[in-house]
Amino acid sequence: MGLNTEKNTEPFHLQVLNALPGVSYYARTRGPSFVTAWAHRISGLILVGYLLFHLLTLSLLAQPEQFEAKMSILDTPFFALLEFLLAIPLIFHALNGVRLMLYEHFTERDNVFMLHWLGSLGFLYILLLGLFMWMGSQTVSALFFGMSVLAASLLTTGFLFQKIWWTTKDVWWKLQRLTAAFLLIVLPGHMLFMHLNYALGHQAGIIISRMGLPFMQCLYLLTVVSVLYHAVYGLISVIQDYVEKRLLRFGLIIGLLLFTIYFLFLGLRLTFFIA
Amino acid sequence: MNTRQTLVLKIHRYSPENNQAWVQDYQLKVSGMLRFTDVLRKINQEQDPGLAWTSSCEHAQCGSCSAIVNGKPLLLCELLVKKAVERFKTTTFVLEPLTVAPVLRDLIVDLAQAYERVHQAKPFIIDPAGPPAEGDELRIQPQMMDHYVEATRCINCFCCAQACISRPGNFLGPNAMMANIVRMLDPKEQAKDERLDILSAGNGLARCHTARACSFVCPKEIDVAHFLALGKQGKMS
Repeated sequence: MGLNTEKNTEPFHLQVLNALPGVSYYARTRGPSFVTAWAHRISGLILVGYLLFHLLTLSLLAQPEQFEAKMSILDTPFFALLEFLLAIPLIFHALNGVRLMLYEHFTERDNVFMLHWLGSLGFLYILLLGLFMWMGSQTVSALFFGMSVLAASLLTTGFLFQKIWWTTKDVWWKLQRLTAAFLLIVLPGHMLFMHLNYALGHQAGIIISRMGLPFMQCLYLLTVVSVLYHAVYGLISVIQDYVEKRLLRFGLIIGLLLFTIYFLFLGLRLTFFIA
Repeated sequence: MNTRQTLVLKIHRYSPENNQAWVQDYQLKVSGMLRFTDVLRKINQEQDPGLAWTSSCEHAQCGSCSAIVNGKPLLLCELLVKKAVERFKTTTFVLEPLTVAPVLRDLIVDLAQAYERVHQAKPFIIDPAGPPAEGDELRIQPQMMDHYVEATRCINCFCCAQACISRPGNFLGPNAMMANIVRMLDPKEQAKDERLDILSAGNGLARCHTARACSFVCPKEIDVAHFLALGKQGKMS
């Protein structure tokens, strides 16, 4: 009895976190998991920012010349490096989400063990992505890759569904968890696929022809809806955590929902009407 | 060894009469074996009788002396000077009142307002089961009680609520949630559905993000986050 796992894992985390200026204060006074929770939020915000930029850029596919002109600006080693660095918040957010779900729904309390795996798998993913970007001209069938990713994602989502659906009455919260399970494989998979051949991802004709495949349209539709739901739930959650004035909170949530509807429209137009 | 320490205490003060807040420095030489409540008493006796703070049992059982010391919420009656110097690696300490409720004066907060949130979580058996037909009393096996007895040590000191990643105005708080969950786990409780409604509300478990600061700061060393996770898992029997 009295086994407080957060206190028992303190030394392992603190060695790492104490080395980071600005972070060590929170690690000492709130604990290492508190810092990890903030890192999860910040990585989420970075991903939301990129998502909006990504949707806006892809919406230029309606005029392929404009899209390729924009891509020629982004087609520099600097932007390639930024894209590579984006893998860090992406894989951290995904794997830390797994850690949270293992803690909350599967009674996994060994934080050291989970963080060890988070670090190892994250590093492996980033290494793999870097390798693909460096090799530069790998190819794989979009349909085969998409089907594999979708099958794995649906299995993960289904597994979590049967675990959590009857646990609480908060449907929105459960959907947030389920979209997380779906995106866990879809998004890192999508990023890997797009970097198998970095140059091809900047050619309008190739993207448009891929988006003409009905299967890929279904996959992208599920992805766009899941990612927007997950992002907006996360943002609403932050608002609900910190904005105490009811009217302001309500206004912010309404504004956010309108903003999301606009980006959902962009996403749907992109999925079904570009090709 | 009873070493003496020269401490500098920077105490956040507040006067409700003129609605003024300021930080006041106190310097004093004390034994390393004194607790921070003793240090504050010494300030009252020797330097400033007007410095306001609260304590009651001074045995870490009532939770009335909670405050923030160098950023960490804790019980002042539990904190030895010697340990504090070792832990924070300094002899200068910033003392602040909790922010889970409005400050009444200096280090005293209106705990009645903070308790309101605990009351919303109904920290009592709502609908107790009667005795079984074949016996005189409802017996709880020790193995079953082991699942939740740790949570019954909570003293509602609000250190967990202070450390939580969510603001107390929008979240009933880790201690309040645990008060609900511990009664969900209690076989005497029959109103499980009503309890689930409290957990599923907007100011309930949706505001918990498993940052686990509650477990990290808990003076009673309760793994609060573990019980909140049980609530999310729906493990209620």
